[in-house]
Amino acid sequence: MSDTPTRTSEITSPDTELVETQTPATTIDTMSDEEIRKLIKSKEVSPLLLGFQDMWEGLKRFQIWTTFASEDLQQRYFRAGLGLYWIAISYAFFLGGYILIVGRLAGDGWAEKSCYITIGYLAWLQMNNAVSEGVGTFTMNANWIKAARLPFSVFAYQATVRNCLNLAIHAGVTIVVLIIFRAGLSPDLTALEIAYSVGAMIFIMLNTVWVQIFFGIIALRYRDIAHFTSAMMRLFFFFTPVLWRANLIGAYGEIIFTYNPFTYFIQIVRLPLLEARFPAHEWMVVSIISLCGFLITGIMLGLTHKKIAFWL
Amino acid sequence: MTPTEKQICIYLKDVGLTYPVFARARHKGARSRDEEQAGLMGQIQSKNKSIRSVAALGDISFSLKPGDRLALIGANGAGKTTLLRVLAGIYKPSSGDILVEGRIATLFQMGMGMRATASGYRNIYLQALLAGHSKSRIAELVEDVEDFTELGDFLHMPINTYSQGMAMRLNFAVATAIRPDILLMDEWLGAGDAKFRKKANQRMLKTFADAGISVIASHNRMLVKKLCNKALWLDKGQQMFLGDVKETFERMDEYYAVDEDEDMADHA
Repeated sequence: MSDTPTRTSEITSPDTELVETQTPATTIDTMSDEEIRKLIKSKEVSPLLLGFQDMWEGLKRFQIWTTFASEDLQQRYFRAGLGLYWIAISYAFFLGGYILIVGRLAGDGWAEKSCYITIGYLAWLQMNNAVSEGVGTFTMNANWIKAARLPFSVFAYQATVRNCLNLAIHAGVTIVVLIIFRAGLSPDLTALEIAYSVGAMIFIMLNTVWVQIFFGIIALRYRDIAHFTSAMMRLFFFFTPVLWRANLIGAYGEIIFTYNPFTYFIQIVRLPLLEARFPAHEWMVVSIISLCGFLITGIMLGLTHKKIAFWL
Repeated sequence: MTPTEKQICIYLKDVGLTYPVFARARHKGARSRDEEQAGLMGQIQSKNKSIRSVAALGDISFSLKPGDRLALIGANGAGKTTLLRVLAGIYKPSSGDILVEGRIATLFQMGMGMRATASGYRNIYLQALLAGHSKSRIAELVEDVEDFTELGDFLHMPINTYSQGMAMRLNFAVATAIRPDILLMDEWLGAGDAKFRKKANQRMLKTFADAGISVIASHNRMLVKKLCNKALWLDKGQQMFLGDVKETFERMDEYYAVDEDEDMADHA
């Protein structure tokens, strides 16, 4: 098929006769269709690896996604007098409400419960954001995807950085709350446990990268998924021990607790601070989930790479 | 065998593109309208109820080297925009070989790749980053854009305060200032006031044309004749003819039996 001369093109149609010329300054003009085809093939990446390559290429363009992320935040609070402070204010209101109502529900252990909810909610919020915004990773950026050729992962990094800035503000509020209710934290707390917790939070943020690509692709192809996940996340909020403890609702709670992946991500942040220990079992579970998630997402991105632009 | 690093080229061989259309018909009227729209682009094949595919391009073959300025011509829906997207690497062809070497800048729809609430300067910066420029290089580039756009202090304003014409000037100035090797434009220079058109044409010919490749989809004959040295005529996604601009238009007119005077009056 490649040997048939180009039909209608009369100018600079690739020369088919010069097959074996290997001069140092070879250009497309002097190459045969076969040679060019070989060249193109040599540049192709296997679909299984393409996704990982995309993630790597995207990572290298950090200037782009950091700039985009800060633009996003500026745009969201554009012309708002208090600007980014709104993130802190709304979060403080929310936490305050929860602590006042839920923390007070059972009477005693107010400080413990406040810490339990505050830390758990901080971790939950980041995961919830990643999933519920993740469904729009590509649909929201159609404008850019159709204008320039960028690694698709750039948009996930962008969202992650944006969420990290959010997290930093939320964490500030959380720290204030934790200081107020410090009686609820473990008395044996050392800098090491705090580092475990912070590390766990960073680990969650790293995971949001693949989560956003994963849901971005699925929701792009199957638009119902966006609505489905928002419904599911609402359900999972109740299934995840953010507000409740497993031992308080019996065997039933135990099952939900054990088979809910979100539980483990929350526990790796919460347990070091509340029980002053390294949650080894939970870390093992989240590591497996993360590795599988990352691999599946990478393969999925590679396999759908060609199609994403059409699905927009 | 491997071309040198700095090589700039576009090479297409039997490139075809078929893409899925997911628009699900909600009622009868909607379905036929969808189909009518898609029908302009090429042939529709139905695999099942909800997925139909459109053969948007078939067997496109050509190659371009630095200095080439190709015009894509043809009726609405002939596949010009799709082909530009294929060249930009946004759409991957479903068959055939394609090799595009060089940094690409695109001027497709207005405002694409621009942030409406960011200032003009900020958008210049973003675009330059996208094109892979270093910060030091961006400063030079900003000057160039300032000169060309004559927007002055407006560059400090968010671009959603710009008029269409101002936004266009900025878009064009940035896309050319970043010195791409390949510039892809979809229905661009035809719009805008006479002064902008003249300036833009000059910029195209003087500062850009000899170094790179440009591909312009346009209905504006005068413009195409002035700017381009080659033309590719597309009809329903098929490559009808590729040759010098004058000849291609002649063939096209013969084919459609269009009275050229009338047509020119339309576009003048």
